[in-house]
Amino acid sequence: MGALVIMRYATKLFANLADHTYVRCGSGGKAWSCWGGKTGGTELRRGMGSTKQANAIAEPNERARISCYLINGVCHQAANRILFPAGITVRGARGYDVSEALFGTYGRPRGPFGSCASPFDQHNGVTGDLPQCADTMPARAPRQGQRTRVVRSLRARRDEQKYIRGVLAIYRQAEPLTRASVRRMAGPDLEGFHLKLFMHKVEYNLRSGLGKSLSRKLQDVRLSAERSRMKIEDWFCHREMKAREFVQAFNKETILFQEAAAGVLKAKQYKALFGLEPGDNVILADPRIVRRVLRNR
Amino acid sequence: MQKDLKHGLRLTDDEYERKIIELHRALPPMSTTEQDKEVRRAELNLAIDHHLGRDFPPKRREALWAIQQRVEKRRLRLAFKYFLRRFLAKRVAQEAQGLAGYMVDEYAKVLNEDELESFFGLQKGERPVLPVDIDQLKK
Repeated sequence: MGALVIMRYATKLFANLADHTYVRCGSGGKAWSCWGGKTGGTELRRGMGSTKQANAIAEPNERARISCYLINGVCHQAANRILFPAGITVRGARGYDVSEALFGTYGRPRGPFGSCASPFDQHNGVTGDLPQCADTMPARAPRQGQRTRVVRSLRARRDEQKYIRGVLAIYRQAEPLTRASVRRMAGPDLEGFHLKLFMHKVEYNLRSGLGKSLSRKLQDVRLSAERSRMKIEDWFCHREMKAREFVQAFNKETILFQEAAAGVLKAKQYKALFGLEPGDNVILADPRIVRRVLRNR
Repeated sequence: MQKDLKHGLRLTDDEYERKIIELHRALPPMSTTEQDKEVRRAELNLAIDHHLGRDFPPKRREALWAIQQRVEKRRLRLAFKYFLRRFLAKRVAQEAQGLAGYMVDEYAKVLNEDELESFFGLQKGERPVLPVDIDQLKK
């Protein structure tokens, strides 16, 4: 059995923050769009199930027979259908409680007078996995053709462990500066710390594609973003800025950072570094959460 | 941490998910109108058991079911405009968002603030939103 992964991202900047959800298999070799985009975002959850069955449920248009958008359901219901073999739903996605109450877990099967027929065919006879979703860690000894893939997967794991060790080393180096008993890390120390972490990630994600010139440009972009972030954080801490203004300024800086990075990276490099297409900008501060956390600001 | 709504134990996330999936596993691809109604009713009861508590009073369950049926009628009315979505995409999207708002407002007549927050995951005064993509709607 393969893994079915729920991916999510917010549908619109600022105003409407309900999550769009789509499904992909664990290897990333196949994704189903569920009436929307199927790249980027973050993982919500995953479960084990037949990716072939999921693909059959999704159908070629990847909408899992949610025929009429907003009448039978939205992306959440399409995703739930595709996730059926894994026995999980998109619970936890923002706006899901509302869409579930409105359209049910797997969507409404029909509209008025026989229109918008939206049958949920579970394809219970379908088993197994799609070749592009095959697990990269087979239980038995791999055959000749599978060996290369397994070796690549092991190498990827080793690289990832090396990356994590590097991150921990950067944190360890900064430890004397982060201890509350010493002082709050600020100014050049903080800048340097974030820059080290960022460049470590850049080296890990871009590897051989990273030349000296590109490295310098990326350092400039990251430093500039960090200085802007520290400035607005400072204003906010000194009550020269309200919570809402802080969120807006923070999100604006996040977008400017992504645009600046897109300006110095090739599309492929950008995707390798951020997991997003250039222009597919994301924001990080959710006004609702900030409001909740900083109620009196 | 979950607030105690005084309606007894609630189904956990996993229990709720499992029961919902079991409910649908037995269904044919295209259920009859009657089966569909039964499923909606069963889904509502499970949602109540999960979000509010298994001892939620039967009379108030009935009241929520009555609301759910009114919401369902509105959803069907929205379908007529759906067929003109190439011209009315924004309007259909607004009305769908309005339908979500109507549903929450109606539920608010039966549920108190804490119950409403638990049921829909909404803060006080927060409006419900659906993940609407206008471009997808025009397709």
